[in-house]
Amino acid sequence: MATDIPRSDTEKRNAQDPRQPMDPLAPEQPTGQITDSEVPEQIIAVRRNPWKVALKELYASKAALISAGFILLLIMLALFADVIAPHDPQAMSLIDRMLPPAWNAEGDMRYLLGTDGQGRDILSRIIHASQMTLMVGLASVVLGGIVGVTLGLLAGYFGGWLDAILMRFTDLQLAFPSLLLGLLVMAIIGTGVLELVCVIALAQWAFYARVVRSEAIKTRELEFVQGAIALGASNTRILLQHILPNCVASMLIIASFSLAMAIYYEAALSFFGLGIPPAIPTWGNMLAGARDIMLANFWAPVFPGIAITLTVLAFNLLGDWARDFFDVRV
Amino acid sequence: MNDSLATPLADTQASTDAEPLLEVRNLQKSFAIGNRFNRKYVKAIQDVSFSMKPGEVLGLVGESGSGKTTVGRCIVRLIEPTGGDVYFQGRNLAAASKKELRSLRKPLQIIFQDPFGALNPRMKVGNIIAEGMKIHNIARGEQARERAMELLTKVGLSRNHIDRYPHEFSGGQRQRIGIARVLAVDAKFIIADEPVSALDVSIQAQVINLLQDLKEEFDLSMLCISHDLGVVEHISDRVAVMYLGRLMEIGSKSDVYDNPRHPYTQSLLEAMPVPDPDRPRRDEGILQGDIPSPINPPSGCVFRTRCPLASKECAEVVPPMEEVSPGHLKACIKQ
Amino acid sequence: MSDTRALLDVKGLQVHFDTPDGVVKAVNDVDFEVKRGETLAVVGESGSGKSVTSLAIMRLISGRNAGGKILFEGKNLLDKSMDEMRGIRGNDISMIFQEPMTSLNPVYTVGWQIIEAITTHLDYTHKQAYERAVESLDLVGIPEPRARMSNYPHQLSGGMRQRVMIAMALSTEPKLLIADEPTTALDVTIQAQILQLMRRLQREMGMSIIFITHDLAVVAEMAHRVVVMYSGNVVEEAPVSELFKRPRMPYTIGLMRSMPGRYGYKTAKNRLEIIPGNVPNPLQLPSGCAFHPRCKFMKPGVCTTEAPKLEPIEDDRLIRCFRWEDVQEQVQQETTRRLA
Repeated sequence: MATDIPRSDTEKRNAQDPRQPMDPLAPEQPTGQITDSEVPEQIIAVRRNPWKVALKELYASKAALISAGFILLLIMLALFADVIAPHDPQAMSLIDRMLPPAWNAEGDMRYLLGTDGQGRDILSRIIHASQMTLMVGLASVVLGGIVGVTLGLLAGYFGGWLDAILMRFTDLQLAFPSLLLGLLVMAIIGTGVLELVCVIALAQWAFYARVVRSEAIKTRELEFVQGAIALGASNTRILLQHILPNCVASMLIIASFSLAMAIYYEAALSFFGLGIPPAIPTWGNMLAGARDIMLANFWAPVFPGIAITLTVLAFNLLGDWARDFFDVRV
Repeated sequence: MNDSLATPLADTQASTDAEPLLEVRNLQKSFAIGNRFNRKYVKAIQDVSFSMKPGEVLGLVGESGSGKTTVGRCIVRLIEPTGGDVYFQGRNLAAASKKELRSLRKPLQIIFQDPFGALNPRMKVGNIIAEGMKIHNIARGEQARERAMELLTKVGLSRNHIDRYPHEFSGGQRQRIGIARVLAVDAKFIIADEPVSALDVSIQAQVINLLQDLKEEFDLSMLCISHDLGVVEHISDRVAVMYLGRLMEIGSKSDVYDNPRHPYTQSLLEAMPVPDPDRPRRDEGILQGDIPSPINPPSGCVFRTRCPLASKECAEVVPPMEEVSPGHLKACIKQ
Repeated sequence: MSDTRALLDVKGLQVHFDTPDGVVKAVNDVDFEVKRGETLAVVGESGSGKSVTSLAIMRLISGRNAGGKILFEGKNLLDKSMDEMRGIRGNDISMIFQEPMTSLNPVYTVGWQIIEAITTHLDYTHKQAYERAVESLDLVGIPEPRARMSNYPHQLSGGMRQRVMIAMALSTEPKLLIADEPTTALDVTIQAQILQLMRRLQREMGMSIIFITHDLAVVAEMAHRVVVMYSGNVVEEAPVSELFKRPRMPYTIGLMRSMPGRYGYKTAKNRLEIIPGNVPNPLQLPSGCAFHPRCKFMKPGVCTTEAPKLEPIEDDRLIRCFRWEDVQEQVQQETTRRLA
């Protein structure tokens, strides 16, 4: 064996060491205990505010940035619809029926995007409709999310027969065309805002359940969950404290996609007359109302259609970005 | 107290020994794999028995598939054993109900290998450490926080690290946080599952020293599970060697390292690389072959397919643990 | 061409990565050469730049080449086009990795993958390549090589997969084999087999090996010469028995003394002698000598301000340390004290 590295393990070289404390060559503390001064601060990774990081990343992606901007604008429109909209969305004017947009030769400067069959201002209606659209979207996403996440967590964490039953339900839900299911349910229980929210949530919970279940299974096997079990943590604690927070990323991603889907469903069901009562302006109702005058007045369905398309696109793009972002971070 | 939980052991241990802190008897675990049409059983551990005295460090070595990790998890029932008993301070953990188990295993905690997976990335260090205190009503709020800070300094970190997240720390520092988390519930017995394998060489020694310091300060006992023969040699008082789910040899550190009696232990020590370039390299006599699959382990002695001494009898009986000298046991019928 | 010239000569290599948080100097200043038929071990921990160096030799790295030369048989690999590099990779220089499961493609048979490696570089017919592949499987000690040709990677054990990787790497008879932690994922008894195999193959085939590892004991088993790396720099280079008998650089000394088991240094109460602190963050490298914050021989004003250079000292050794002479003296004293 090398001469410089003796094997004996009983030596106490420090015990009889007449070292001077100032000598940089002096050997170390005999016990080998590491004091805090030996773990210098600068080796710790740079602290970063996660929100700042997200904003920076968002800024780097043009599509996501524009989408976020658009959604922010939409929210502002919805919040301040009464101030922003030039007309009362319900005010009819028989003289101004079916006017084309303002830039058209026959257009009227008072109605920027023209008027519908009852002479209501299309722009004002689109602005006011954003309120209901966003509200229905958010409410259904939250409701579907709560149901789906809860079931997914339980199925993933406990496994066994509970998992088997819940997942068969999910499969059934996913196998059934959700628009058709929506039409069916609405036809039975009737129309209304609350009913619509429930129907859209029904079409969405299964996505949450599936994804959260697989996250929960993955997280359950991680050592920090095993450690918490060994520590004596209850199932509730493990689910809420350890597993749920680690599913947040995938929940946000699905939420973004489901919001897009919810808006699309709301429009579709309203268009069929099974969604929001026709009296309340929504983009879908506007489309439905324009059905009869579509051939004569193409702009009546075009503008709400554009609003739907852009909003769905914006939420989808934001969802794409969120997926990439969390994929890198998590 | 439930009758089945009471300890029935007076005869098993030599009268001169102190009461064992932990006694594992005939521990078994088999996993079912495959689907219902093609079900197979992996015998992860078979018939593992050993006991530990208070303040002792037992090293458990073995290669992959030896079941060493499963033993650790079966003791605290993170994995449910399929057979056998685990007596800790006289109470049978294997027979305890889920509810009893929660408080029974408080003094019995695990440190994991992976410093990245072992801490919840969404919790602050302070909450990670204080979690056990909250669960067991040891301390709450400000008091828990103060204690967590104290523990941070105990494991060589600083008090102001308490509001940081795990990703802000290096692997070695995370391992320290994992140790603090365990100390927070006044653990008396620590299962260290490959505590330094994922760490850089220059950090390993720091964490090993820390474990030794804390063991003395808090009067801990430790089951140190590792594939690293050097780590086990340094930290252990006694050493147990496992192969393919079975115990091959157990004894004091010097028994096992300087006087190994089981051919597997001998081959394992022989295979260990030696940091002495001038030692003549033997290219013959290295243990050949692969570790068999635990789905279909060899009959009789599990080591016989690779054993240089194997003969016909080895396939017939499972060799029992025989005493070579007091406290030194081996599972081999050859002399 | 004389054979005395080094097969591979790495001169002042620098590899940088641009990250959102700044420039990571993964390889700062690396010099070493590999002679024909020798095994050079490169030892270091995570962040030492040992793996980046090996990938840079293969030109398999996305980082920015910030300087230096990699001379292979006198020609700078950094000047080669990607086409020329493809002719060198797997032919003149082969590489094996730590994880034998992910290095083999799971959807092709073992035989297919070796034949592919052979026919890419050598002008062989399929039949010749097949025979060649069987031969190389036999060479690496795989029993029933013909039967194994039609196996998929998942049908083999970890040790067997690593043998297949070695067979594939050596099927074209490369002049240089780069082995990046080839036994780290393997069990001790399997590691011993693979190390033995690599020693035998080198004896028989005479190629040079760069053996990258974090394990000093494995270095002692394998190497002729050793390069120790820390924080992107070569800090010490020496023939293997010299290095183990008389480590000079404080980092090397620290690594050897902190080995658990019977070979390390123990302080009082059976504690290991340690290197304090942590591996430095590559984004915030310390000033002066990168090791100075953890070095017990550090002298303020000397080690903290200027970066030391890799300098030759007696008998075929290089070291990057201002204070190696003082260190040597101190270590000598400690040794005498210990032996007393």
